[in-house]
Amino acid sequence: MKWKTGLALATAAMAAVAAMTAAKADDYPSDTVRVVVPWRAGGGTDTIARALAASMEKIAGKAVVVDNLTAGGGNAGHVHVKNAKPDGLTMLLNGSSDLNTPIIFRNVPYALEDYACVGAVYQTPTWVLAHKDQGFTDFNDFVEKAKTEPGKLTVGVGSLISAHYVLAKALLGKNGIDARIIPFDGGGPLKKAILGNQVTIGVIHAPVLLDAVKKGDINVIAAGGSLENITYKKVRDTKTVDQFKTPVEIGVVRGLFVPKSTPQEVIDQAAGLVEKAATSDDFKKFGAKFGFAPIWWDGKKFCDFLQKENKEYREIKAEFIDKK
Amino acid sequence: MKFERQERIKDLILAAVLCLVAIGGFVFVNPTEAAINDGPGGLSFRTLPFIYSGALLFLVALFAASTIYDLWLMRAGKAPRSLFGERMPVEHNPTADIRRVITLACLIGFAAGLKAFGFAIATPVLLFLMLGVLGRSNWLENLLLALVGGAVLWILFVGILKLPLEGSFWDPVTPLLNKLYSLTGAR
Amino acid sequence: MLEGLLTAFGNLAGPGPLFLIFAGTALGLMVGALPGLSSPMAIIVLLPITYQMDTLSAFQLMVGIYVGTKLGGSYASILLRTPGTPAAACTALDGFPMAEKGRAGEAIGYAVMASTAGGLIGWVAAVCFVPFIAAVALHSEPADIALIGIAGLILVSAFVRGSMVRGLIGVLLGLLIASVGYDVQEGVERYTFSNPMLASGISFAAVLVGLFGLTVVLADLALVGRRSELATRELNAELPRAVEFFRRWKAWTIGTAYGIIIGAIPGVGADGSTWLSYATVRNQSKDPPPEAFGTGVPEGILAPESSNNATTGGTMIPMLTLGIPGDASTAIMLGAMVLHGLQPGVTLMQTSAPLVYGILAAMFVANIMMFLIGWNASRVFISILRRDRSLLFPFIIVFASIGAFAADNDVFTIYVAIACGVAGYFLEKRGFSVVTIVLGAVLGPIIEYNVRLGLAYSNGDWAVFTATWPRLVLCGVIALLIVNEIYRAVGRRSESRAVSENT
Repeated sequence: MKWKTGLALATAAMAAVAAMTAAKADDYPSDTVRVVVPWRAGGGTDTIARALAASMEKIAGKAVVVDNLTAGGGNAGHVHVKNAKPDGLTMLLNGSSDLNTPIIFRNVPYALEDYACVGAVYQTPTWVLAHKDQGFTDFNDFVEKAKTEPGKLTVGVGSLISAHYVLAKALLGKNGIDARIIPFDGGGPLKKAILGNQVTIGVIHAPVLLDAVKKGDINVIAAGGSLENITYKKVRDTKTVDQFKTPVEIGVVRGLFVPKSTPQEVIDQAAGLVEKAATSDDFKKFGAKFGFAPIWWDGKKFCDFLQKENKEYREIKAEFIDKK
Repeated sequence: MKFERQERIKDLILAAVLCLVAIGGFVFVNPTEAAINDGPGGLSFRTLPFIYSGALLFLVALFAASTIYDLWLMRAGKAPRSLFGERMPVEHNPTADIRRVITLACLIGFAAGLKAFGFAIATPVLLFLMLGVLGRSNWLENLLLALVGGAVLWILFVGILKLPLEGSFWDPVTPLLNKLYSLTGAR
Repeated sequence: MLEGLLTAFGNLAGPGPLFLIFAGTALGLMVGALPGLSSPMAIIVLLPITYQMDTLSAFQLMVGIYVGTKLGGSYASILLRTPGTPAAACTALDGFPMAEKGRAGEAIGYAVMASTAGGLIGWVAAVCFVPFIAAVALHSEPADIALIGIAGLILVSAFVRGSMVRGLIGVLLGLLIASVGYDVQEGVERYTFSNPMLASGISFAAVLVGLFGLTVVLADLALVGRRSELATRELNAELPRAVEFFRRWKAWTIGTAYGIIIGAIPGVGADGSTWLSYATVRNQSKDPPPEAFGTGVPEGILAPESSNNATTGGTMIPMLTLGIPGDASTAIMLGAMVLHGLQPGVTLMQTSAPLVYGILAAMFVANIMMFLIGWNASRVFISILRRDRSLLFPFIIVFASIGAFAADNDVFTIYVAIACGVAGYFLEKRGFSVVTIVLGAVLGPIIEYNVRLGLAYSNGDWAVFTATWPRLVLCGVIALLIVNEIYRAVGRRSESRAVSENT
């Protein structure tokens, strides 16, 4: 009878598909994994990506390549992963705030909803630095000086589309300070300006300039989040900005994304690989040198964090940044 | 004299194009987005581009004026003055011009082909076409050069340098080549 | 310091390190010679391979590549008029005309000597003056850089003296091209036509490949099939006699000085030093006269070649002592240090002194290797690059296109390069020089960004540009240059009027 044959065929087909998928499941990654970094080679996120890629390659036994797709300020990289095949072999590695700030401040051809989160591997808060010659021991010293010299002091940030800027605006707004924000063309020039004492204070991601802090040339006067995991003990109890009237937590969490349409099993497999790499000894050694220990957040925790960060930044933007 | 005249007219066309560019410099600077921060020292994001466009307009006007002056002189039977500098004598080479157009078409096709067909297919095609266009008539030799050259370049750019040069849907070759390459034990 | 260096040199005396430096330099020369491939690319590719090696060995390789590309780019510049690397673009101005006259071997010889001299002297100066250079790197402020940029732009008008109107139009086009993209001070996008690919501006590598690579290919298509006029009797580099080289000491000394200083100041751009040194040497040259530059004078090769190799010494110091990169290659090297478990920055000298000295020693040896390989292996480059254009051009087109692609890893950059190539071709036909466009595109953003940043520092006070004595000196130089230019322009105009009145 036809329907029995049909049923038999259907069952056979389903079994075959299941077998193939099962085979696929063990087979991840079936080919070269490409980690897309929308930043230039040599920078902080790129370095983290390469260290992670090296660990992933060791574990997976397949090549893991980093592609710096920087066209359009990184737009091309985001769009590339947004439209990539949902087979878990193309992943975007970017920082949480580096993803959120363009979405909030600019017209970009992608949104949080276009990606599924695989997991997060590295979390660093932003910190507020000052050259030792400024003589600040903590942020309140800066506040006092700024109140006596309104409009004179300067706050360096890496870009107007960044977590640095959001934190700087929040700090200045909540403390009622009139100081000028000076945007630089990225973390590199900002780093140089802070080191050269060309700005009064600078807001930058930890652990940039950690070596100068260790040497004593730079003081950490506030932190956008907890520094308890930093490898340099002396700055671990730097006061966080909520002790300076700014109850926010601003930093950058670097993590991996895949296209939204990727099936859940594939995401889980990818997450498995990334988790192993993030908790591996090699990556931990890298973290120890870089300044922080790596972390592992699963996809859901990471995605929830991104939504929360997005909301927080929008509130700060509405209150302190948008011109009235 | 006719040659000189033609050259001047081409100059005028260029001047017209540059004039449009300069005007575009004023118009397209960015009418819609509002600045996030205020520019320091009285310079806004428009200041310098406007200065550039203004200067360009002025200079293009000078250029156009001198060209028109020369044309007028020539019409009156006198020699052109070329107030703003002589140029090298220009060769007219129709064969070369045809080749240039074809080369351009090949280049654009190559860029488009990279996206669709991937490096592995686009490059030998480009090489073969270009070798032919540039006057090498031995088809077999060209084909061989294209294929071998393409293979070597593929190994260099995709195998060793690992540039992301795969095509999208229409590229069956690259995954095959990737497998072959990894069989040799290289990364 | 001296002890550390001597020990480091001693450690190099073994087959392993020497081989690595040799391999790196040879690779650098090859990578440099191929248009479209560059030093940052090569270093990034080798990075994963170096994970297995110890850090010093990895850097011996990378430093070799870095140094090698600075000479390698010149081969393509001299023999084909399209530069193999951006740093070699200026060498083509006199290198190619010299080759056209049948003196290609001599041109390459000058390039080799200048590169070596620039590299070694730059190294010695950098090492001797580490504190000074580090201070320059650290304390240079946007106002200083802006003034240097403006001085550079005025110097550049030396190129336009043939026809000032055309030249300035070229510069302005370059300035406009460079204005596309995101404005740092106000957070606004300019000229992006709502195209997300233009958000960060027009990739400079694409412009360079387009204007110097594709324009040349399109223009020289007419030369295909003609007997290569580059046939030189000797198929190898001809080193100039010592007398000839030292007679022209001004050219390579000025070039070296520019290279060290500009390499050390982050933000000016190491490759810009080649143009500035060329322009300066040309301006102050009595014999040969400035007009001769561009027809194939050795000084026109000595200046940029010494300059681009000297930048390696200049960029090393801030990289090693401050953790601040001077160009793309050093930026990647810094990343490589982190990936190898180091902490680059102000503490590097204390935590890893042997490595720092090792890198410096390796760089010195790399310059020597570059000389030896460049001198002897030139015949290989020449034999490849003097093949008929109908064979070379297709491959150059592929290299150039992929080079443009690799700037951002996107096909859009290739289209940009093609557009620039076409525009450059038409402009050159009408008597414009693409060199001026490139200079505008290079110097424009530097000037604008730093002028506005300087004003941001001083809260809108324009006096910041005369606030320190180095800046006063720079302002004085700029004023002198402007006066000089007007003087020469007027002099030339009245001269030509006298000539045409007498005929």
